[in-house]
This record gives sequence, C-alpha cells and structure tokens, in this order.
Amino acid sequence: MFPHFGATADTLSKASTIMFRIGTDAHLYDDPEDVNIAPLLDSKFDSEKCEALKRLLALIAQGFDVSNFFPQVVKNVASQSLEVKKLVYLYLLHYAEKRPNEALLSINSFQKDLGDTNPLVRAWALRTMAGIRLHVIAPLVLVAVGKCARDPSVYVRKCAANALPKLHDLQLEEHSSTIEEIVGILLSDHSPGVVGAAAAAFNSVCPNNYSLVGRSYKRLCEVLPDVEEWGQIVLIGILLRYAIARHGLVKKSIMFSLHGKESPQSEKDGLDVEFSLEKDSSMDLKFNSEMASMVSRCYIEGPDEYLSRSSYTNRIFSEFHNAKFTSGKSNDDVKILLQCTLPLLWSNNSAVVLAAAGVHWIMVPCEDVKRIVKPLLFLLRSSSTSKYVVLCNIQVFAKAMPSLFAPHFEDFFIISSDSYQIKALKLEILCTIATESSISSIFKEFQDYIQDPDRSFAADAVAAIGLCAQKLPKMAITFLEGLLALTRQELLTTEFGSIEGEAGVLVQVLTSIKSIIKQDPPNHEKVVIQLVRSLDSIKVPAARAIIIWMMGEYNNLGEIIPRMVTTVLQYLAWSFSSEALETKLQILNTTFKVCQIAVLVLLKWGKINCCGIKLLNVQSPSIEISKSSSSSSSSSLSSSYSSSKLTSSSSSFSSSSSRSEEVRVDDAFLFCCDVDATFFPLLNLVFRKKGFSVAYSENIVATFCFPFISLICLKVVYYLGVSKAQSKEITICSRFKFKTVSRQLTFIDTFNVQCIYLSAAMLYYSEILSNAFPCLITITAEGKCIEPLNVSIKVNCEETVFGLNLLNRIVNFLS
Amino acid sequence: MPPLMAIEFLCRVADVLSDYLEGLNEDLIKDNFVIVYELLDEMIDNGFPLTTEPNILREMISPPNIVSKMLSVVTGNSSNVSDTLPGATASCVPWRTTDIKYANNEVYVDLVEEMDAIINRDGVLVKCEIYGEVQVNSHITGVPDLTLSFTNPSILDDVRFHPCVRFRPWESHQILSFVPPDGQFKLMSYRVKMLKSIPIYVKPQLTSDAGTCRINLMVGIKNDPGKMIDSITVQFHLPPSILSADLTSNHGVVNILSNKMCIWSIDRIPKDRTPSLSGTMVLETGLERLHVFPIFQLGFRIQGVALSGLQIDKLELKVVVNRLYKGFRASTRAGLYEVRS
Repeated sequence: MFPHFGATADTLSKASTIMFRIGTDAHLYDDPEDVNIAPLLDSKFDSEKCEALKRLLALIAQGFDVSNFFPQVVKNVASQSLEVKKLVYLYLLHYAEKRPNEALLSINSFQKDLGDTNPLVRAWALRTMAGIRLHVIAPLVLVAVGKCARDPSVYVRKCAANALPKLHDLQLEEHSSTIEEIVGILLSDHSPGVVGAAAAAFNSVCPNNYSLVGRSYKRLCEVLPDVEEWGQIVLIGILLRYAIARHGLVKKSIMFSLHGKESPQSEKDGLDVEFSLEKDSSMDLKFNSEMASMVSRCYIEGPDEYLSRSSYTNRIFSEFHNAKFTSGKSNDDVKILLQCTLPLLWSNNSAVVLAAAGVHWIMVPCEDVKRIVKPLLFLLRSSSTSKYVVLCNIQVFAKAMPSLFAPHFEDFFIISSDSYQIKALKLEILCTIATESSISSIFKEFQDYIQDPDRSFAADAVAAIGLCAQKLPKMAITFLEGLLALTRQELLTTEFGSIEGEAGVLVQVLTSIKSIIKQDPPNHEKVVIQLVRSLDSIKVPAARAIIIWMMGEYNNLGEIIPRMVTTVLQYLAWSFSSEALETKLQILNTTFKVCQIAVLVLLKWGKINCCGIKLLNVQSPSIEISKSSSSSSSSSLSSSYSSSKLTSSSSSFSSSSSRSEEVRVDDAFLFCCDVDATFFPLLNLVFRKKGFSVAYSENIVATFCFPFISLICLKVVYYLGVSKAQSKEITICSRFKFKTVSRQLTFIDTFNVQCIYLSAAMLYYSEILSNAFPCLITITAEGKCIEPLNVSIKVNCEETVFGLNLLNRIVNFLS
Repeated sequence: MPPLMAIEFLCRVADVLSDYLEGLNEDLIKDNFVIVYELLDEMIDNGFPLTTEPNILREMISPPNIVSKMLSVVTGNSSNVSDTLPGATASCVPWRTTDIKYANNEVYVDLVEEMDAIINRDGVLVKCEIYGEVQVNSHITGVPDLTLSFTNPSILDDVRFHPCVRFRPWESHQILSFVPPDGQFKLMSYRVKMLKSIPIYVKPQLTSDAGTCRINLMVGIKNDPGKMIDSITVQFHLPPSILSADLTSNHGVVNILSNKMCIWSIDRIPKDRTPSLSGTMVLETGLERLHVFPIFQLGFRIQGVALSGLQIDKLELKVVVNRLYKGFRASTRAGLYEVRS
C-alpha cells in the first residue's frame, strides 16, 4: 500500500492534476490568504465561516501560526452547522494549550452541546473538551465523562472511554479513584464496541487494577471476538496479564518448561487448580520459583516497568508475589481465554493474530503450540514493515522451539524484493530451524544467495552456512566443499576481488571454513593445505590473515603440514614488508606458534643488546632497525655459545654472521609475545634490567626485532584459562608456558610460567635441558604482580663446573 | 502499543485515504487537506484508533465525488460532514448500515489469486504457492445472511477472515457464514501451499567471456491454464558491474530504465514463435566474467481461472429476497514470482 506514494506521484502528469483539482479544496491550500479571513469568520453564512476555517486549517497545515484568530474562532463553537463545528474543533485542539484563557470561553457551549439530542454532537463535544487538556476544566470534563459513560448511544460511551486516558494524563491525583470507577463501568458495558475502548483506557489509567478485570473476566473473554480489532489487541494483553497474575504460569507450557521445572509434587496434584512452590525448600526449586516469579511478574507488569524498578519490593501485588503454577487443562480461566482467542488467529488484522499467538505461546501446553505456526506464517504476506516485526517474533519463537517452524523452512526463503534487514532475519531463522532433513534444500538456497547482487547479503549467506555446519556436523564436509569452491572462484581471488564487497564475501567464506575446521581439525587437514597453497592467489589482507592464522594453529596437524611449515614461513618472511597490518600480525603470531626458542636465554647468552635488538610497539608495525652499536655482534653471539659449550647449536646462529652487519627490512623477523597484563611485570623485570623499554598494549606487550637468522624463533604459547563457560567466575589459575625447542633439538629449553591471578600471586619456573651437558635448571619466581619477584634457581647437572657456571650466569642475568 | 498495531493502523489509514482520494500522493493530500484532516480526526483519538471501518467512515464523511465536486463549483459550498451518527455504530454488525434498499439485489464473488514462486538457479521449482482473496461485492436489501461454501476447502493451508465471518461454521464444516458489509470488501484471504505446476517458464542463459556477457531469455507456456495469459512482463535489475547493454527481442518491447532496471513487456505469447530476448552486455573494465547474476521477476495475468484450483460450491441467502443475482469470477496474477539465473 505504501508504494502507491511513489508510483502515482510519478505517473500523474501535471495536466491531469489540474482536472482532478476542480471542486476540491486545492485553491484554499494554494493561497489561503488571498482574501481577508477575519470578516469571513464573523459572517452570518455558514458557508463563508467554513471557507475561513478551511483557510486557517490550510495555514496550520503549512506550518504557520494562526493562533491570533483564536477569539474569533472560539465564538463559532456555538454554530449549528456540524461542518463548522468540526472545523472549529480541529482548530481548537491545535491551539487550546497555547491560549488557555480564551479556550475557557468555549466551555459553556460544550456543556450545552453535551445535552444535545444528536449523539454525534455530544460525542464531538466530549472529545474536544477532553482534548483541551487544561487543569482548570478537568473537574468539568470528569463530570461530563461520567455522564457520557451512561449515555444511551454506544458511540458516545466509546468516546467517554477514549476521554479517560486524556484525563489521566493531567495527573489528577484527587480524582484517580473516580476515573478508575468509570473505567470499571465501561469495562462491564454490554456493547463490545465500548469494551474495546474501555480496555485501552484501562491500560493507560490503571493497568494493574486487576479487581476491575476479575469482576467480569468471563464476560470479557466471551465478548472478545466481537470487540473491534484495535480493542481486541489491548484486551488480549489485559486478559493474559490477569490470567498470569491470578494463576501463574501454566504447567507444561513452553514458558514453564523454559523457566521452571516441574517439582516432584506436581505429579500428585495433577488435578489441583493452583499450587505454589512456596513450601519447597530445596535450593533448586527455590531458584526455579524465583525465575518463574520473575517471568510472570514481567508479564503482569510489563517488562519495562518491571525491570526498571526491580530493586524495590513489590507492595501492591503481594498477593501475586509467590510464583504460582497452574494446570492449563483444569483451570477454567485459562481454558476460556484460550478458547476465545483461538478464532482470533484467523483475524484479518496482523496485530490481533500476533497478540492471540502470544497468548497461546505462553499458555498452551507444549504439544499444542503448533497451532500458532500457520497463522504467524500467513502474516509474512503483508506489508514489509509488519513482515519485519513478525519475523522478529518468529525468531524468538523459533529459538525457543526450533521444531515448531522446522517443517516450514520454505516460507523463509528469500525473495529479491525483501529488504536487507528482512533477508538477514530470514537467514538467521533458517539457521535456527535447519534440520537434517531440510538442510540439503536450505544449503541449495544458500548457494543461490551467494550469487545475489547484494554482496553484503551474500556474505551473510556464507556466514549462515558456517553456522549451519556447526549445528549439523554431519553436513560439514558438503559445506566445506561448497565453500572451498568459492575460494577458487577466479573473481574472488584476483586483484579485482578487493573491491566492491567481494572482499567481504571472501573473508566470510574463510571465516566460515575456519569455524568448520575448528570443530574437527584432524579430518580437515587437506582443507588447510589447500588453503595455504592458495595463499599466492588470494590478495585480500583479511583473508590472507585468516589462512595464516589457520596455518599456525594447525601446524602440528597430520603429516604434511609440519613439512610445509618452513617453506611457507620463508615465503611469508620475504613478503612480510608488503603485507597489510593485520596480515603482518598473523604472520608473527604464526611464527611464534611454529618456531620455538627461548628468548630469555638468548638475550642473556647471546649478548643480544649488542646485536641491536629493540623493543617495538606493535601498534606501529613498521620495522625499526637499529644497527648494532658495538662491533662484532654476531661473532660475540656465536662465541658466547661456544664458550658455553653448547657447540652443536651454534651452527644455526653462525649462518647469520654474514648478514648481521647490514640488517635490512626484508631480512627481519618480527617477534611478538601474546601476553597480557599478568605477564607484563615479569617481562618488565627481565627486560628493564637489560636497559630495554617495554611497551605495553592491550594484547601484545612487546615486539622484538631480530636479524634474520635462519631458525631463531620464539614461541610463546599463552593459554588464557577462561576455561569453561559453566563457571561464571573468571578462572583463578591461568597458565602459560614457554616451550622452546631449537630445530636441531640440540637443547631443549622449557619455561613454564604459571600465574595465578585474582590471588595476584605469580609462579614462574623454567627448565633448561642440554644434550651436551645434561642438566636441569629450574627457575622459580614467585610474588605478586606489583611487588618484586622472589626468584629461586636450581640447577641439576652431572658436570659440576658447567652447572655452577650456568647457575652463575643465570643469577647474573636475573639480578 | 504493540508495534504491529501501529503499522497495521498506518496501513489502514493509507487504505482509507487512497480509497477516498482515488490514489495517494502528496498532491492529492494537499488538494483534499480538509477531508484528510477530518478523516484523521475520526480515525484516531488520543493515539488510539477510533473508527476505522470504511463503511462507517463513508457515512460520516462523504468522499469527494463528481457530484459533490460539481456542486461545489456551481454553488460554491458543500458539506461532506454528515449530520447524523451512522446507525451501524450502534448495531451488532458495525460494518453494515441497517437500512439499505436496492431495487436489484446482486452479489458478486471474485477469487483473486496471486502466485508466488521461486525457481532456483538450477531451474528447479523451489517454492510455489497461491495467496488468494475472496472479494465480495454485495448490494442486497436489509440485513442479509449469506453462506458460501467451497467444493474443495481442504486444499486451503490457512485462512484469514473479515470480522463479519462467523468462526463456528468454518471450524466445524468449512462454511463461510456472514452478514456482508454493503459494497466491495475482502471476505477472506487464503493460502494454498506446495503447488507443483507453474503456467509460464522463463529460461535465462547468461554466458560471459572476455569482458562481455551474452544474455538469452526465453519465455513460454509450460502448463496451459486453458485461458489466455496476458500482461506478461519480465523485469530484472542489470548487475552493477554492467556498463552498457544492448538488448533486443523478437516480440514485445524492451525498456532499460535509468536505475538499470530492465523491463520486457511481452503481453501475450504469440502462437507462431517463442518470445526471446537476447543481446550483449559490456562489463566493467578489468572484469572478465560476470559473477553476480540477475533475478528475473515475472508478471502475468490470467482471467477466468483460479490456479489454486479452489472452487466455489454454492452461495446461499438465508432469507430469500425476490430475485438475487449471483455472479462468480476468478483471476490469477503473478505475485512474487522469481526466476534466478
């Protein structure tokens, strides 16, 4: 219906509009002030008054302030012509608040009109009078409303009900009981039309005065199908809240099974009308009952209100305080509400259908909930705005009970005219309700969506495939193949792919692949290999970063990957300087995971400071090279190794000797440690001693820049122990470990760092094993983060001289 | 207020306004601003819907018509506000005025169906359903009580009713029993799912190589519904990566709008040949092949057939008036009918 706006505006040509405009009020709108309005208002002919008022209305519509005509207009309230009256009322309502004193002048004629024989005149007078919203006349209006609430005309009584919220808005504390009384009278009116309006008044005047509803609950239920549609929506909500307040949640309903469990007692009192969990003392039940009471109170009072004042205790509703449960089969109130809302599922008004569906969702036993499915799905064939609202609701229902919508997956297939938001919602719902029987059709659809011209939607479809794979692991292989085929697509991988949202799709493809592999890495070894091989053709930085991350994460997987690692790292090292920031970081990350050596030991033994190691902040990824200040850096490095008689390992270091004099960007390996604040004091302790400054950023503490030495790498495996989501606290103990193994396995250096936070104690210990001189060195550092560490060192070695020497060095290093 | 209530109400306002003004756009609203003001005042009061039933509104505020327009031109004034309250506001059938008299009693029932279908990139029919409405136009004296029944109500997947339909007879016997509003109204809407046949096929072929893309589109009758299919159109958005397109057809007219929307109006399929559209499209520089493919939206209209197969059995009037003329019609048009390529 809304598309009419655009379409017809375009097609109506100027010429035809002129024809259409003859006889309309167009001339009044185009030039409202082409005659003098004031004399017209005082004219004795109704038609001239009418014209003047229309001109005023046109001026209001165009945004002019014409309140200066107020006194003259008010005089015309007494006019006998209904059209003049109507126009005067429109004007009055617009300016009454601005000109309160003059507005009072009109009250007399309103009161006269209230006694008119024509119900239309009475109703209009009441509506306008209540609409003026002045405190001064509120008592008069209240009397009028009271009188009209007993009027013989249905229309007048309906207007009386509509006037109540207006009075309530004025916050007349002293009259609130009278207003509520009138609400009660109107709620028990015998005409359905009045009941609907009264329900709306009830909702805004006294939403929690359940005694008013309780008086005529049965009758209200019965009259529900005859109430006009807007009243139905409000009345359904009121009846639902009343039923929950009175009887609590229904046993076996989905709400109940989600938020509470049946107590052992429920079996024996199956026929009991009400039962309370109050008497149960066990912790579990108490928790359930609290949950249930919270949920039901949310419904009784409306979630916003309830959550906003959840802190102070509930005085008014103490009678409903305890969570109660009731059985849907035996409770008459619940039964009649369900019965009377059932036909409303066929209503023409989508809001009514949704409200009725809500009642059934909350009240009906789990096995009967499916009756709301088809009506809800039918609502999807309405305007796109309401479609969005309905989909949001379906999403909530589907999450709680996917089986409900699972057979109807076709209804969520996407059509090109859907807006992006609707498409995204539909995708989410499809993921939620996918089952093994429907997934193949859904997957086929997803594959179509990937070729959609809307690329961000295509990316979402890819993400949805990843989600489905996590949900249905059996299909993972099929999904992976489909996704891999996408990565091979020429367009995604070429240079062109970096623009126009193609990059987004590719990154999403890889993210989905990553999440699928994560579920079962050993089975997907080949996928990783394939992706790593395609590194050369994939140019999108974020996509490269993901592949490199996978490379590092699964470097021990299977047999082929460990053999590829060295080559790939070399390739990455050479391309390092041309990579984007995020890719660079992942290269570093991977390097750490793959290559391992103890940086601490190296720092000490290799006299690294001479080599020109500098700590960098990772935030600026440009590599700073500081040339070695002292001469013969690498020679001293290797010599120090030979002096410590770990000769067999020195070969790996000596290869760098030729390069280290002239260090270039390309030759550099960047090392960074993924450590957090708890490790920071330790690093600081070590490095500050050496005159380095340690930069700290949120995740990454420091970056070391090394000369490119064939296989000197560092591994920092950091296990952040946010172990399981079951426990709500952050874990007390987190552990991280330096495991340092050089390629040739000539010596094994292991640093185990255990760190306990929350208790703020830190434990650090390290083992250094040597092949040449078997020895075990244990360094333990203990202390609180902010305080100096207590360091103790133990060396177990067969050769005493070497052992003592080593111990000496370590002590020197640490102190 | 529940969000759907607001949306539904706005839709209702739009419906009523476009009914009154015979369209809805800025100019029409400006030209009839007094009526719009009066209508809004009657439809909503203090943020809550007051009177939304079109029949009652019509009695309270008469729509602008030729007579009133002429009258206002000749006499210079006219009132469109009624002096009396419509009787229907008080009756138990608020959608109907009580004292209606016709010389000729007649009732027309139209089945108006829209076919939604999705054909995926492999040419497989993924989803096909009918969304239909039973539209009734009744001019009957007094307060008639009508019953309408279908020969095959079981095919209906789900239904929605005008408030005038009584629930009980439908629940037990699938019979529509109602007191109709006067004039045109939508009695019920229904959905028929899981249909297997579509009347028209669309076969798109797109091949792209070396920066150009060839398109070939064929449209033909797949399952003859037995009646003439007309107003056939095929619409599609050219993918954004296409710079220019040169499209020709052997039947009908091809138009490319400025927003890259391409509309091919075929109207009726000729007997002697299959309509086809073909041409070449130039891709953006640097792009070898097309990677996103357009989705074709098909439009058509078939008079005289309800494709869902729903059939009206009989329409009866409880209290027989002398000479009731009954008329039945059916038509089907394409709704959201998509062919992916």
